[in-house]
Amino acid sequence: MQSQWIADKVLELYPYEVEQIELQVMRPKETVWTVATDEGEKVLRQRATLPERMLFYAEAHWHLQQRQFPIAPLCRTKNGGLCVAGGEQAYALYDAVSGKEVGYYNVEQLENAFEFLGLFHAASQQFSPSSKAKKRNRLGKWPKAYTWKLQELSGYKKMAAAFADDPFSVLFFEAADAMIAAAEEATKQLESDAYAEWTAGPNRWTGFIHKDISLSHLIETEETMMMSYLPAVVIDLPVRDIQVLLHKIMKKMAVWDEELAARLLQAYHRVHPLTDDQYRLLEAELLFPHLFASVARKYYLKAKDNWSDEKYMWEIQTAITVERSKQDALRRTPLPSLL
Amino acid sequence: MKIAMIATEKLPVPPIRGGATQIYLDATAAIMARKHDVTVLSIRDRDLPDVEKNKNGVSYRRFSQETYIQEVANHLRTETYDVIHVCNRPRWIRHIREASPDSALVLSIHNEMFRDDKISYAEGVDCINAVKQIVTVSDYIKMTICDRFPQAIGKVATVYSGVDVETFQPKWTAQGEKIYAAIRRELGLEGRKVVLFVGRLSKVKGAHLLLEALPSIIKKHPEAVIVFVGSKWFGDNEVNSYVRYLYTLGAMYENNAMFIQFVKPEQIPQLYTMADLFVCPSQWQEPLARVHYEAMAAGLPIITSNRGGNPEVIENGKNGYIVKDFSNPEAYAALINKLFDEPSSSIQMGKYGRQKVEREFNWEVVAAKLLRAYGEERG
Repeated sequence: MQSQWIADKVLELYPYEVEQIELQVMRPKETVWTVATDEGEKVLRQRATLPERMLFYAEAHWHLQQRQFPIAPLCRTKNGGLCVAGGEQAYALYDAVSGKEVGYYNVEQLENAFEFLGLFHAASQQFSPSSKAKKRNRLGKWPKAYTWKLQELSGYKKMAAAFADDPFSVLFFEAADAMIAAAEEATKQLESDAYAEWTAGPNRWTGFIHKDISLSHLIETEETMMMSYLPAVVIDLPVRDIQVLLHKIMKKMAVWDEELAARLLQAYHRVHPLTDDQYRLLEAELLFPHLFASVARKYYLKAKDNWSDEKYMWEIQTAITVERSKQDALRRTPLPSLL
Repeated sequence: MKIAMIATEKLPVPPIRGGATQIYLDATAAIMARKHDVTVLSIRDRDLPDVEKNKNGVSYRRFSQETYIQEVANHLRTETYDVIHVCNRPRWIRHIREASPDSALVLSIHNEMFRDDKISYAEGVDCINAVKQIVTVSDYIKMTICDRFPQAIGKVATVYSGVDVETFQPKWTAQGEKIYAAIRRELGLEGRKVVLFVGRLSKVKGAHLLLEALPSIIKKHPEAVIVFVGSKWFGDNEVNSYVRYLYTLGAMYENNAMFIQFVKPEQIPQLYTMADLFVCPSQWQEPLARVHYEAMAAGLPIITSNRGGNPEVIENGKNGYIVKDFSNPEAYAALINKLFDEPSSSIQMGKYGRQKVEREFNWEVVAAKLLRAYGEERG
């Protein structure tokens, strides 16, 4: 009831007649309502974040909208505000959009998703948040992050070595040296001029990325693909999003499908072509064993209460298969030659 | 001189809620007030009056956090000061210059506030033109300003921060000896070789590298133990994934790694006293961590990473060692083992560090240097 009361209060700040409010999702850091209004169905999203941070997301959303990127339109308050601050919570309202879900097993849809991702990155460029917005910026921070993840992997290897009777640790330990070597190779590749130029200096990247892109964030309407809600974007290189989405897809396939990866990268390239040097940075990002490291973190830090031992075993086996087949493919065929 | 010192909008002065810049302002204000009329402006706090004068003769005025800089400017329009010291907020200089056009403005910079994501080039130039002097807490911070704004070179000088040397007791003093024995007894560390880490438990502070170094240390010195003092943030004992990583890795060496989360600030000096050496494995370019002054004051040899301003207070081989290969755990292990192998040289280094801090980094020295930056004649 309290959440309904809060939604009512926030919606009073918008120029719509509210007909009905329905609570959709309530998570520890996020609550979502659907709102029927005299101007159609809207979505109200509450995030446990600083209002200045929400303003950054909302300004990014508005930036995309101004550039005709297909995203659920953001609604402005009666005073013209892009979002609403309320203590330690912040709110944004946008139009509800409906359409077909995008699936992982339809190659054509996957290609569309990669074209869409290219479109998103192209539209995100020249973003200049206001001084009131609290920026999220990861430009130039990959070397440090890679170094930390490498150190973390080496820590898990020590733990695995101590648990010789634990099947997960046995599998992890067997693969660890090769994964650490790949991570070191990826870290070395970041020492290139291309990374420095793309993250600093006059020709640096001026856009933002989704950071946690997945197909569930997209819907297909009759005319186009659309982003259905305001993402918690971050200023970072677009190859991070490509890496994340490729990994999500390949994990579903349980192996790195070289041919599919080429098709998806070609789809991206048609809309937002990168230079050969930039694709080499994507190579580094793909070479880094993100999947392997992520499963190890979850296991050793007990991050997933609801994962069984079998689930963990399946996850580490899949991660190792995807990582190995991906590393072989990358060593066999440099990415720029696929485009 | 009539001096105003303006704290940031983060925390009140005196530093009842902590804060490195608040400690710095309060300690130097008390010394300056012996000869000068000093007022410290800071944010309001429920446990402090809005206006007061303390026993050291320092006046305090406190304003609302939400409208802090506007209220500070209003105050400066009604009260004239010879010198206004602005702490770590270069973008406030134009408001202060406008409110008090005839005062000499001195800006102290405690971290990378002149970086391009903190201040625009035009604002930076205006700020540099408006101030009489900029003092930085390290040469590293000075360099971050002068690299971007070469026109600032003549106005920027390093004034290292300081420590209250009386608060820290090296173990070779009579009082230190008692603290050493009592704290070791309390923690069950009698007869152990103790490495101390004090700081926030975050990746950039590098505590994980010490855990990684442990096997090589234990191999040579099985009685070694690393004591980690701190949490995610001091006073915030929530466990995030990094802290969980440290605890998990640390649990593998339960006899050689100890985490102390819950500690009152006033207990920290005693933890320094009971240690044998101090390590700062910072991975980020930090301005110059206060822990170096504290460890020196407690008579500990220091091993620090070659990052930011940290190595500036280390004379390599005299009061400690600088680790160039700062992300390599074995580099720390080798130096820790070296100090454990040579206890008499370790004690000598600690004594040299204590002399150095008494000579160069006590608050009297810091206050005298600040007064010179304000324009007071030498002597």
